[in-house]
Amino acid sequence: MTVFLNNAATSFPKSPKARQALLDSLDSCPHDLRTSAGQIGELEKLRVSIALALDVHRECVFFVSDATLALNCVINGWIRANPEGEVLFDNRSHNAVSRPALAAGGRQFDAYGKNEDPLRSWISDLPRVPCLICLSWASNVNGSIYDIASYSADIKRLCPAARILIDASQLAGSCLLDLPNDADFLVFPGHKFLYAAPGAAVLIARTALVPWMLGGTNDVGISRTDKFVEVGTPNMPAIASLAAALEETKRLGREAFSNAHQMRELLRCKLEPTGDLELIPTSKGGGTTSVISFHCKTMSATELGSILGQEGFVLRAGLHCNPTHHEALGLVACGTLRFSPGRYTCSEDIVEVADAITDILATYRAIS
Amino acid sequence: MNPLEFIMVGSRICPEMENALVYEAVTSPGIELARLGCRLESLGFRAAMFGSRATLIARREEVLLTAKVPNRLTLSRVASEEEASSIFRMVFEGWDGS
Repeated sequence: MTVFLNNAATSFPKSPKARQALLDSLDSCPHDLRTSAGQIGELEKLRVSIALALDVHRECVFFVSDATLALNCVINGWIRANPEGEVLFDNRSHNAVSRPALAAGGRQFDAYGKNEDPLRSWISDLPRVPCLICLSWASNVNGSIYDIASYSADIKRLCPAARILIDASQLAGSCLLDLPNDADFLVFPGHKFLYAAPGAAVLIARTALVPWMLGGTNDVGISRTDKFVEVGTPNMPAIASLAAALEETKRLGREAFSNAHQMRELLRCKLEPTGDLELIPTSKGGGTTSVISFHCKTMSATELGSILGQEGFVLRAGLHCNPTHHEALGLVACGTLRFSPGRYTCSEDIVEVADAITDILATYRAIS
Repeated sequence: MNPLEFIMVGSRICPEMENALVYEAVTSPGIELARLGCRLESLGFRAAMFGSRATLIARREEVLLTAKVPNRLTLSRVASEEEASSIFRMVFEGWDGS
């Protein structure tokens, strides 16, 4: 018996359409992937398909093997081109953003906490002019979805020269994806809430990318540096899977994520009254993804997560690669227990995990 | 019965939180949880089973041990892998599972 509640890490099961696209691609003869004798290659067809699904120009769409690599490409490329500039990242950032930003000498800022007003003076006091500002669209810790459109517009007014990078890893597939006007770069993978295969992520670049990884890929000439981000052999099956998943998600509309949200609410109703688990609050006024986390007051989150793992429940305990947000919550020492139901989670799964938690905590109290 | 063996697998769950690591070990298959519970209680643990008696949880002072059939064990609230290993040794060395 396995109950999967870890879609924020990677989804399971995959969308049947995304799985079929992966298999079809694996089984098809790999003709020239990019262009051949003036014909548009398969990769470019997929690029157009994704551009149409996202309503962006196809020249803005890049494929990278995962979101972490895509974020590294943007941050490292941009700081290489702007060595005197400052990289800023918000206090909800996943390690995939905070680590490359810190390695580039970047700074964290309080984006969604109580210090929003002083942001203006804080930015003006920086010794270096911000060149890249990284924002999280949704938290992988508590599921909060932030008003990224108005926030990025505010940031743009404060720092007109800075480019804005948005990490949409938790957002894509969790709600309707409407690209903010002020986003220069936006990244999301296929394997989370889009239910596609791992191995492909989309990088939207409305501003010309600065090469960070170099390779042999270029169908026009060495002056076309913007495609250098796509180095090496593209993972066509994963990209085909992502494209199919994105089309499906767009076609389904709210139906694509309504079940996951209902399962989140059911989890909250089942677990919050136990008294042992304290719900991690979400930001006021914004929506949420299906991610929901709890602080365990009786035993540590990692212990409870470990026992639940032994019992066949796949979920996440600890910091979820996001010590930044846990610090903001004051929970970096103890971590949280995170559930991320998905499109294919059923109410029986939620009842089973809630019953198991009740059983474990009652047993723990009996031996304490 | 032959003496039970155990092998430390290492730590898991959240390597970013050094004070919250859970150490895992596997034993020879076929461990009987009821007997392990008695063994642990003889060593000063308080033990109880749950999940249709397929999992055992035991506590001595701060140390928390869980065992799951057929042969999975975890230990938390210990300072290091060495301390985890020494507790597993205390439980399993010289014990034939009866």
